[in-house]
Amino acid sequence: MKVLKLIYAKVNLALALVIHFSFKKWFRRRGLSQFLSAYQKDCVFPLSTEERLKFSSYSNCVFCGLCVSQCELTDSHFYQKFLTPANLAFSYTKSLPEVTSNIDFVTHCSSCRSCEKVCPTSVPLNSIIQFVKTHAH
Amino acid sequence: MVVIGSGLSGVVAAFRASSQGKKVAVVRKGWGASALTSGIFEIAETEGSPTQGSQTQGEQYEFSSSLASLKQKNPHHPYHQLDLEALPTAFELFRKYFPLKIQGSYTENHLFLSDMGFWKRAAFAMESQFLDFRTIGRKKVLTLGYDFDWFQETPLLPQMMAKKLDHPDEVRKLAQSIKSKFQLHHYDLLILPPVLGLDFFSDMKRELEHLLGLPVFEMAATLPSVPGLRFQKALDAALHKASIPLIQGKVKSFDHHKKKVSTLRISDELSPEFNETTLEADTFILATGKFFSGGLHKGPAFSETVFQLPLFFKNEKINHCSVQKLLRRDFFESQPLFQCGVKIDAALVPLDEFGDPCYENVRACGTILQGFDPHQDGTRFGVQLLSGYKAGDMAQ
Repeated sequence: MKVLKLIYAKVNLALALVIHFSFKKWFRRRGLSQFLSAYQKDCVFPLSTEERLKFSSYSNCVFCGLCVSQCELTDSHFYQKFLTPANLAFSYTKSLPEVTSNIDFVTHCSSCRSCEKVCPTSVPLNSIIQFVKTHAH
Repeated sequence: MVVIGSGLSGVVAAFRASSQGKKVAVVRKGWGASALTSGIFEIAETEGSPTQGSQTQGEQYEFSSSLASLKQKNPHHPYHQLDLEALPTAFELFRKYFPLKIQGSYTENHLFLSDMGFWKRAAFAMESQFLDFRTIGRKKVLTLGYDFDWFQETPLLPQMMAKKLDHPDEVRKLAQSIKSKFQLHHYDLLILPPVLGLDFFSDMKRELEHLLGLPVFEMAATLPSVPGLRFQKALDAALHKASIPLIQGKVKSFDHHKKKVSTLRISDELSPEFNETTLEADTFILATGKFFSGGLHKGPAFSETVFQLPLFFKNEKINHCSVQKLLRRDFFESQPLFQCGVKIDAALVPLDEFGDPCYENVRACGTILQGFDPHQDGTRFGVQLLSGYKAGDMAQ
């Protein structure tokens, strides 16, 4: 019985090894791509060094709301519910927000920079908008 | 002459200098704390706690005695360098160009209601907010806060509400919802949060008064404030009306020969060609404000952002002082951090720690001055107006 058990176990192990080498790569991607795809669901993506350097200045917003009065978009779409530049900038003060949630504002924005002109804490709103445009797919 | 900063004091200085026939330009990086004013303008605080109601006995509203006690209590207050009798002339000059109406008196405070629900004593208020609660007597006032249905339905920011109310249809809807909820013939006055339109607010106020058949007023605003936006837009319009050029850009560096500043180099990062302009002038007026407006900055040390002037609190230099020493535990106490600023002499020239002038042709005015807390001690408007007027006067 002991011998039979040993053979059974070894056959099982061999079978598992075969399955592991032959089928596993079809089911799951490995390494960096697997890592990134797992995080893509949560809208976490790698930042380049340039973006990292800029990123500290993104968090200057104090939510005074002065940019809202200057935004052309607020004028034309004010009946619809959408983000203001103040909301966009303020969402960057804590951590990286979900970029996909900002996409409706960014696609309408014409980059007129009138929001940047009045900002007391000089948040680079236009580069935040460019950042969202490049990363939100 | 070059004025740095387009807040209230900078604009007054520019008006004064240009009314004397000087060539003036205003440089600014963006909007500052003037765009967040509550629409209420204070000259001096009077006795009596501001949380008590209007029926309390023994309250003072005339501020001549409180001004004297303020000067005695605070020997570093900018009022020591300023002439309070110039206030009416300074204000008349300001009113000449300023498109909005500001009501009030030079000798006594009025009692206003703020949208957070406490009383505010101040000398002046915007016309739409000028409802003095001492004078209403037995009239019944209907007070609607932000928790009223119509305000609850709209987006969270007051600016968005104000933009929405720039449209007559929305004003009609608001009037309908007020009429359906309250029996208006029981009331004599209606007071609303300060969101009645941004660009066309006087028209919208009249429209609402016509629809409801009641006089409508706005409360004093807290942040973020719509009256502040109107105020800053009106300041820009006033500069345009006085044909004073407004240059957008940040001061990057300056040249000085011994103790005279000769040129400013200004770069505008926002313009597409990234150009750098140099401005030459005889006199430079520093009206950049405190921390929020970007006049003062806390990096590794405290610094003044344009001329790197030394900063003081009660005549002690605090450039390398730690922040903890300048903060008090009680949130509502007057914080030394907001009282620090530039030390000046009688001619508004910024001084260093030995009492010598830093740059002879620089004048500092507005909230950047040391010794007063613009958010707390209730002298902001007086200091801004008078120091701006004097700085414009002092320009060579």
